[in-house]
Amino acid sequence: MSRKSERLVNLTIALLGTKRWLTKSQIFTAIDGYEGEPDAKERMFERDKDDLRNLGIEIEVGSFDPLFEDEVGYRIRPDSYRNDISEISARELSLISLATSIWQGAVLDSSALSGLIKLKSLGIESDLDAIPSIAPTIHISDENFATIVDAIANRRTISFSYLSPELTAQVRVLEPYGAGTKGGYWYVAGLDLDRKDIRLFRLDRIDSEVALQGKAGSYVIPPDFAMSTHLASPVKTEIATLKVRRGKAQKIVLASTIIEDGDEWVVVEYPFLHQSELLTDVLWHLEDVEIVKPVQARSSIIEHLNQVVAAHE
Amino acid sequence: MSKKSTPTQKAARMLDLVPYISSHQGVSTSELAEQFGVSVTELLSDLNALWMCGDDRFDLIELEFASGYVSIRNADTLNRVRNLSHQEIIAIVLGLDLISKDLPEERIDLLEDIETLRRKLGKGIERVIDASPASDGEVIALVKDCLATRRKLQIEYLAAVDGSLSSRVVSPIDLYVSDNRDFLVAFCELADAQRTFRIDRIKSATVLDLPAMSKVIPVSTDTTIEATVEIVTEMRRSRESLGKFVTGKGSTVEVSTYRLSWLARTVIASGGAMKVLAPSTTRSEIAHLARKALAIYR
Repeated sequence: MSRKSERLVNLTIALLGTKRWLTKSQIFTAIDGYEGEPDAKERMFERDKDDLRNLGIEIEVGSFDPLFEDEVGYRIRPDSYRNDISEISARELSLISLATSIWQGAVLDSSALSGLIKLKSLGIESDLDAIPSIAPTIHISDENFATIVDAIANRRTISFSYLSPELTAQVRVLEPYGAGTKGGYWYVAGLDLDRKDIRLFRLDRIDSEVALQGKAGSYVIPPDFAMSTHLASPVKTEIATLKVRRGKAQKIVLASTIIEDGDEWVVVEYPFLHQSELLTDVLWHLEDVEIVKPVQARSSIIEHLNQVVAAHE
Repeated sequence: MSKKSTPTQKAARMLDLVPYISSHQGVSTSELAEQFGVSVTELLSDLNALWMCGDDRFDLIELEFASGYVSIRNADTLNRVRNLSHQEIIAIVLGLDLISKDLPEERIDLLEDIETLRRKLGKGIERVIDASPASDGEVIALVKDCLATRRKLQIEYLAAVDGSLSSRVVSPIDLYVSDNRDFLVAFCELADAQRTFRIDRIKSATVLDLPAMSKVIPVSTDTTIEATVEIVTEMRRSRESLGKFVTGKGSTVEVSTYRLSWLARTVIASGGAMKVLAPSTTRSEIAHLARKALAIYR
């Protein structure tokens, strides 16, 4: 176990410290741990390169002499290895500390921690007093989320089984572009390869393990893609006029404009998107909310209530 | 922390230890272990391995960690802070997003800092992620403060069932997470009983300078209602609206809850997508509530 980690560190030192390309044979002689038949050494070296790439360390391949292209060499460019974040203030570092503490016990906590350590290594002191006391929390222990983040980071295709509105499981194949959370739910957006369109999926509706497919870097995230657009609430363009019993249904009142404040009833204008959502919101409050307008919604709600009575008599 | 790290994770830690120790010469092993999220034993094993690294002819890394404090020399090649990986950027930027939505609006200075950081760290990745918190982080901080200092909390609470807004004085007992949501268990003076509050329904909170009640009141043992519900249409939406109270697969399911009013409203609000098959008392209660709601339209 420990020999492998030492070999990876030594390989990094050798490739990072060199000013010229190192050939494989130079690497195999200089670094302990490359043992066995030439084939075995080759395979070890290939795996080590992949492991370093997974740590974000890019190994460059080049050749010494354009006339002898078979003699390739390797190195790590210091400027691709080194953090190029120029200046971070004490207050910014405190914000990052707070941002990473959110992940404690949740699925990305090791990435959050290692990221914070790197930034602390820039030698800045944090200034916690500058930050007000807030304790936002993140609750995601879903291992699928870690897989999705890996897939987005390395641009790899994923597949999973997803529950349709009628609860049938369908296999979806996705080039994931982005991820995020809203209202306590987690989402992934990406190009659905079967439907050839960008779709949004809720993680709790995925009923299988998310599987990685294909190679890293197999697609490009469109430059105009923004997750915030996909998670933004659609603008509610319709307005309903509702009568709300005083003191009740505050969730509706808080989202409305009050236009008439009576003793028993308050008349409000309530924005909504689709009639079905309006009906669900209003039906929940039973005799405490009445739809005045639109007339169409008013007659639909009467029809719904009659159906409920008929179904339960 | 108890998870055994892979050789690759160990290698990453060894690489990151070098610049960290260089910028914190003389740091204690226990602090290092805490910062890196590993046990002291594992940290010492990392340091021992690191000690053996480098070009052994003339360029071994010099580490000193005999007396519980660590310093490092001769590690020039590795003495640079590594680039953030995409996973690290995603974790940090998601965290920053959540904080920015919890910060009071007047802290424009901090909101601007976060915007700058998103660009500085994000390298374009920031646009593929977006996060808003499920609950108000300010409320959670106040609840935690009350729990730590054993004080009372005054809350404005939006009741789930009838949607009324009430002001309550509570003594917090516990904060827990269920189904990705935060809940507060507290003794409520208005109800004179122990109650559970969903944090995202607490519209505002103030810490009172009064000691919290220390007596523990047993939770009232409400009788549960077992109902058989038929899902007629919209399988996924209906099932999700029944949440964790539902068992069974297919279109006929069992629902177990201790609040009849919650079940009745859920079924009525489904607009015909669900109906209760049994027991008959629940069926007639639902029919009764629907008739009462119809009465306002006459």
